Amino acid sequence: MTNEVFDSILDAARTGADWAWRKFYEDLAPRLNSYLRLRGAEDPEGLVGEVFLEAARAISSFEGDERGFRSWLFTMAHSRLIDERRRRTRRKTAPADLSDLAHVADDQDVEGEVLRHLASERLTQLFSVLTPDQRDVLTLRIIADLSVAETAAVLGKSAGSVKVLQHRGLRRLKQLEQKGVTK
Amino acid sequence: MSRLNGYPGMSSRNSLEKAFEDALSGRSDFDGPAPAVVELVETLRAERDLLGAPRGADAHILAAASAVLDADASAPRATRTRRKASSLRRRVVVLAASLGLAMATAGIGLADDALPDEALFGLDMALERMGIGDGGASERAAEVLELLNQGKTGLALAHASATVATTPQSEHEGAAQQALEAVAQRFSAEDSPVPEGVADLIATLVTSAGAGDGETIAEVARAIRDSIDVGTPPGPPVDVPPGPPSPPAPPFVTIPAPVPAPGD
Repeated sequence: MTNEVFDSILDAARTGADWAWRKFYEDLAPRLNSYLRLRGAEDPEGLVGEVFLEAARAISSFEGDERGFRSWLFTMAHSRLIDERRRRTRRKTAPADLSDLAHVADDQDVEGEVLRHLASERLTQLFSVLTPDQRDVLTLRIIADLSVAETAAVLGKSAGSVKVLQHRGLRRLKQLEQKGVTK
Repeated sequence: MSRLNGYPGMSSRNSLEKAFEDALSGRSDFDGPAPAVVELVETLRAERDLLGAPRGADAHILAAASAVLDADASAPRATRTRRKASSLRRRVVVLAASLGLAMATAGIGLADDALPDEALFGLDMALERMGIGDGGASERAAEVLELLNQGKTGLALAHASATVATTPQSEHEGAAQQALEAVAQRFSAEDSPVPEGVADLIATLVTSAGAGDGETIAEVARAIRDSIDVGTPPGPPVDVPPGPPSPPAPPFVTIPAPVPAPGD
């Protein structure tokens, strides 16, 4: 999509044009849905709806291009995902700890839950060697086509941290391969 | 031995990163089985495509839009609107005023464990400012979490917003900062208006899995053309039939901010 086309759709979305929102939804909902599902969301479709509703509320404040818009929506999605994980964790263990708010990605039960629901056994195998943070980084880079800087912004980390997480994740995948655990 | 044979002479680190970046951009080319790094990219993208297989809509839309844009690159552009100032600040002031009232009725002793909806919270804050008792972003985050645990979402969001606005940057580190800013961001977003009908549309799209069809494609193409306002595109006909002019944009409506329940 050219910048001009994106800008005209964005302008229309700001006026509440149905067609513009439909276009954004059709372009980005599958990626958001995939990301949320692969990262353990209990109700990915519902969260996608919440993300678009949040975007509709804040669209007039958005400034940027198509990539920026995608990154913006994924930032909202990640925040919603953390909220959902926190609610789930709270249901399971009360009282919850402070770390539940910001580091619920470390919740191994949540990870196990999503892995059990993944259709692909191979993906389960590949994910199994990655830490939750590494999965966050690699999933955003692959599913959302985000750059290192954009991924860092979504996750609230520095670009350097994301690079390190990415490299360690890639190294673990290579070690998995060297152990002969390949398809 | 690594199977990243396409990158001889590179260090392991560079080879891994390059294999990954190549896989992301679809440039991977291996004779044998793909390395695990490439496999992860391909597997994840296959999962993504299963959820949202391309419907061929983009090509039609972009063909229509591109034809229009090519016709007049200097077309007048729609005027951007700026978001009105958020009422977050106003609500923070209201919250601060309520905290001041709380201070006036506070006692001493259990203040350090007080939550923002409790009378002792104001005293807690005052004691912290004097260096007595725990304080800082981490305690504020703990209070936000406790309020959320108690189901007092509105107050939790307001407390997070107020804390982010008033806590020194040096204290904005780590988990507490992320937690507070995430909650504050939600508060800010939920305080903004939603264009009329968009919420219903999103709900419809979610429940119908966003199924696209020819009518949608035509509607989008027409709307892009109309919004750019350059008239009928020259050149080869676009495979989207012209339609009636778009109706005027619906007015914005403001969804009032949630009013906390008496116990909230």
